[in-house]
Amino acid sequence: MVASQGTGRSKDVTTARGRIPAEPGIWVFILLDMSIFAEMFGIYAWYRAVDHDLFRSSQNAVNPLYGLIYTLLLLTSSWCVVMAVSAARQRLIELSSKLVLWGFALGAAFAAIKIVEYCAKFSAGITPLTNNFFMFYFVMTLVHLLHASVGLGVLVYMRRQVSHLAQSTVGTDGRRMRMIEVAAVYWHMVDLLWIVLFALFYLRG
Amino acid sequence: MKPNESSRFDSQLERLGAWSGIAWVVVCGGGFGVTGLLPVQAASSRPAELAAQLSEIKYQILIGMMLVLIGGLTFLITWSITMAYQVRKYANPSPLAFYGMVAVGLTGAIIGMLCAVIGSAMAFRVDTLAPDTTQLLYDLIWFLFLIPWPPFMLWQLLAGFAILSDQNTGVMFPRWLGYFSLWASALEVFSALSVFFYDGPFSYNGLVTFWVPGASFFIWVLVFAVVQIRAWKTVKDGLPQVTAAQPALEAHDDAGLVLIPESAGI
Repeated sequence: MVASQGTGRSKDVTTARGRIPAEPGIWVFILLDMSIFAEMFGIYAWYRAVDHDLFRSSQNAVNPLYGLIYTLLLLTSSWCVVMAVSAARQRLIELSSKLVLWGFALGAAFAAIKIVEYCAKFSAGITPLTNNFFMFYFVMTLVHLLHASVGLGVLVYMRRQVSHLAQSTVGTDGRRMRMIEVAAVYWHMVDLLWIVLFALFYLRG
Repeated sequence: MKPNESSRFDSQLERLGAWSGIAWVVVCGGGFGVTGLLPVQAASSRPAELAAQLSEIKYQILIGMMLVLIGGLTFLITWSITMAYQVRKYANPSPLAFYGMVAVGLTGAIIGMLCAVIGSAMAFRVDTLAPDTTQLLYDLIWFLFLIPWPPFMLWQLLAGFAILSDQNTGVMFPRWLGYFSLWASALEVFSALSVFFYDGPFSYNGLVTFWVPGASFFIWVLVFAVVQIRAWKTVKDGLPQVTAAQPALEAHDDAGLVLIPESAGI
């Protein structure tokens, strides 16, 4: 079955198995972006295998409590965004808008605490040039922080789309919902990447 | 010249311009291959050893850099102007986005030219230069290639948001190409790391810093040019004389709606 929603070219892609969330194009972005992270994870694993003792001893200087807080913040934020999409589908505009705002606030808290953690490292004399572990630690978490910062902008955009849903016409309604889902998919990618970074840098095994 | 002849000439230029994107990838990428400079030596290499290696491939470098000059300068100019023109014509009529993309395309061509000129000068004098001066010129080639990344990011962002804008009819540029452009723009940031590390994945010969943004830019141009060429028949048969954005705007009851962040300026 092929169903369409919205106007003209802006069709939702549906198949017998179900609808592709958001639109196919965002998945091109998500999969390519995650493949670059996967490449970095692979390089990290290689370096860690070569110099296991250095990586293990350096990891002791990373406070796992930070990692736990970040994970809770991002998971809760993602939950808020999921619920916001669900509320938007039911046209509970006010609830959806509030949930996106909570998602944003938790994401912003993540970014703020990350900066505090960086400052604590710098004041302790630890920089990306200290050794290979901290090179990966700073670069990979910074790249993730940049993704999260873009994600905060995306959530602002998402909230605007949610608030405009109330005034949507039949023609624009489908497109707004699609872009709300695009924003949510991006934010979940930020969350998913964090889970791997948490395991790599904060969990001691 | 009659109007229809002018239009036909313009169409031919559009087609040639799109093909010049493929030509840029082949000639400029091939030129770097011919130089023998790939894979790039580590920034931590000893100057004397590096100079000796470069001396052995002196004529390779000179011929390869000539190709980089042809590809990097000529074809990047023709392709960047064509893609900006077509994005304006078929995706989004914003003049600011158009001029932004043309300006960055020209900047890219100048950067390609500087890479080739400095590479040629380095090879030309490699036998008489002090090794640390040779290394400095070698650094300059790769720093020119990598660290002027912000305008390239702007270029890909402008193209991406223009394609994702609601005014794009999709007659030439599919929406996935917009997301693909945004992805390519995100990777440009990695180049910034190359000034901080002398070896490893984040130095200027590193997998993350050199190959990811370098290859993604070439792939972006290639994919973009292939889309332009493949869509040509549809465009030619469909709406060659009309600015596509206008009917699209009229079709929507809320013509002012743009489903992209307004900070994009489109």
